[in-house]
Amino acid sequence: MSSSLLFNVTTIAYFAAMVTFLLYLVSKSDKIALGATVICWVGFLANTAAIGMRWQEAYAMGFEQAPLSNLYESVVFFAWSILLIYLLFDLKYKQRAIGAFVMPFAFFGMIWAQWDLDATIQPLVPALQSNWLTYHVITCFLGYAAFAVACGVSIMYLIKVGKEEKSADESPIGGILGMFPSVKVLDDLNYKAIMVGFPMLSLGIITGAAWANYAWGTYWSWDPKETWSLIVWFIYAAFLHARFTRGWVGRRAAWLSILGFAATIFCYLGVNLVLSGLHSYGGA
Amino acid sequence: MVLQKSQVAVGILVGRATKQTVDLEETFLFSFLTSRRIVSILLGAFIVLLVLGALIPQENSSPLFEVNVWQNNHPLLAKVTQVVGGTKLYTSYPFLVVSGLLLLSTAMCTVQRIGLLRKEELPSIDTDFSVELSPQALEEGYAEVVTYVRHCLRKHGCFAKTESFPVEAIVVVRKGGLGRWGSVLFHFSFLILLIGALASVWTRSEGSFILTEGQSFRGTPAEFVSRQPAALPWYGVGDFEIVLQQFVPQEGQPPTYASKLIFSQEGKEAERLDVRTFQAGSYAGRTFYQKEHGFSPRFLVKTAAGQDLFDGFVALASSFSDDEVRYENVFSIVEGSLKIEGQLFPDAVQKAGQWRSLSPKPNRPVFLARIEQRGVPVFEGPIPLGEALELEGLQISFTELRYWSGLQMVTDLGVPILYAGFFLGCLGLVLRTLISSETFWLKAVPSAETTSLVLYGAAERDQALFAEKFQVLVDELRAGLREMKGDTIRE
Repeated sequence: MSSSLLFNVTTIAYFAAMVTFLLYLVSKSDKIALGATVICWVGFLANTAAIGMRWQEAYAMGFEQAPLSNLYESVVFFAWSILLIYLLFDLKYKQRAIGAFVMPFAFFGMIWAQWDLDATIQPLVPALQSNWLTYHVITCFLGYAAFAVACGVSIMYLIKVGKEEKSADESPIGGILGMFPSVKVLDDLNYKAIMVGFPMLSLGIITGAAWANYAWGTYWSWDPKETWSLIVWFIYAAFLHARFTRGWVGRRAAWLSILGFAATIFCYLGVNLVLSGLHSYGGA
Repeated sequence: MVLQKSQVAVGILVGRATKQTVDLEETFLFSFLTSRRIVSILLGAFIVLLVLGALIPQENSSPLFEVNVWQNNHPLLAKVTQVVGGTKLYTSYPFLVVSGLLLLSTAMCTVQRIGLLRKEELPSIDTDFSVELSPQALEEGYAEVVTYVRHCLRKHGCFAKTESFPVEAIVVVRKGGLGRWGSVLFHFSFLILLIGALASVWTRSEGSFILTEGQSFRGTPAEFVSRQPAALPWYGVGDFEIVLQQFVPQEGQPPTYASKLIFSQEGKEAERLDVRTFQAGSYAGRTFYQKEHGFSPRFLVKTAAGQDLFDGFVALASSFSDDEVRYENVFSIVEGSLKIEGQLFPDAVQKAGQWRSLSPKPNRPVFLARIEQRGVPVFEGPIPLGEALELEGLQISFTELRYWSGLQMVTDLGVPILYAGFFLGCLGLVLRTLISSETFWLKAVPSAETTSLVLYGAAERDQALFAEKFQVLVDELRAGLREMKGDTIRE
């Protein structure tokens, strides 16, 4: 068995989980929700095993490196991180409907990696040959993943609150939207996810700065990637401050969360693929 | 709903911290910098400048040709963005002013926040949010109930000590008070980072030196090429000695290099350190970075009578272009009135009369020399490694070839402060993220004929989620009390 096969299993499992969560919204069956969660766990375990196996394969080829060295590996790790954060939220808050809005991020990430990206294991470029790589990438991607969960929850919030505002009477909304958590819970979950992602991103930036000082002799170079990560950080810092000091909850918070995730995706992919700079090797 | 004698009501309160006023003597600057509108404007301006800086190639982080291409392709945009520095945005006055004000604002807001937290009271009770779920009759007293409530709270992770809070309160459990200080610590870490950054600007000294394999260096000003005129006094003169034991070029694309250094103090070996490309090494408060490298051929010049005029290594300058690396230098040997100019081909071959190197490895080193004696050209041609050149009255030998390594040495007193700032920031984030302030209290409300017990809860954050958690607790309490008191419980 190879890591490639396990990554295929992961992709299929994530697709199955996404569809099953949608079925849950339609059917309102708790058993189907449980099934979707079980499939998520299967996919997550397959993803974990695949990453571990790829790590082993790299070692067997003589490359002593964590599987975080190129775009392909970062995307599959991003999918893994999304599942990790989502499953932790599921264990704690048991709001299964949000799986329908979070799983697509993981699934489309995996499908892009499998179809379009170069999966060849290559030696790490010298600039990345450091233990700092592991700390920096893991913290950043856990942050990105938490923002993905927050974005999914925010989309749910906007859909639900939009429908609620349109309905004339105050009776509870039925149908698929009836399966969504209440708007207040969605708002809290959005905040909770960002409260997980923000420290992770901060740690990612801090470990990146420490690594840069170790490798290049300077903490900060105003490289486009560094600058965009700071922009993302400021957006989420603004989110938190607006919430605490100005009471920005609900719709405005949800839009800010979606804007933050858009900036995150540009920081992750846009900068590497469009702009040049010290992180340009991440686009390979 | 009217409560009967010895009834227990389980209620829920979701409250918010009451607003506090700041007692600080507010100066204009303080009010200005803590004004939400000003902070919003500064933050917005800062983000806009960052976006511009990320999209416009910057001279500090992009290759010069890329900057020039962008300027040529976008002349109008280049002109317009000159207002904010254009391709030098991060050193422009608008950027420095905005970021400076933002930092000051963060500092002031932190001070303000500390003042607010010190005065913050427990969440106030707002009975509008109180929901009575199921009054249950108790024929006996409530001591047993209280014990049970505390047991349930413990099951939900509320182990905090019992406090005497409002007059009638029996049990008050607060947890997560430390979490509120997490955000203060996080903001405070910015001040530490600012101090660290300023300390770094004022105390950072850096310079570079080269060592040929086997050569030692004692950090004397004569050997040390300073890039900051004020830096030299920092290093003193030779409180330790560095020897380049070996320079190791490593395979890979792009190739990397490592310098094996030996540090000695008072003549005794103290430490061995490998400094590699992208992997610095530290010794005695100095950080060393691998920068350049090249070759040092050893030349021996003798007279016809066998007297040594010169025996030493000459470090050749390395210049890198897209398709080749040139190792060349010009040097003089005063005793022989010689001027030697030449280029080294480490892996030499001659094709069509031209010398070139097949690789940067020293497989077949040849020094292509042009020699003048007393200003008159006397030789022009190759000297392979290990061979000697006979001139009139002189013998010039190319006896050995070694690597030289260029190292950058940095001292920075701001580094420990910056790391302290990083640590405090991380600690603050952990406290803020993991610890959320929650309060539960069981309150007795006695009257002439009845005694009611009401359980309240209040959360600093995530009220909706807390409400769900509280509901679980309430359900447990109701079920537990029904089991405990049996028929005496009324729905």
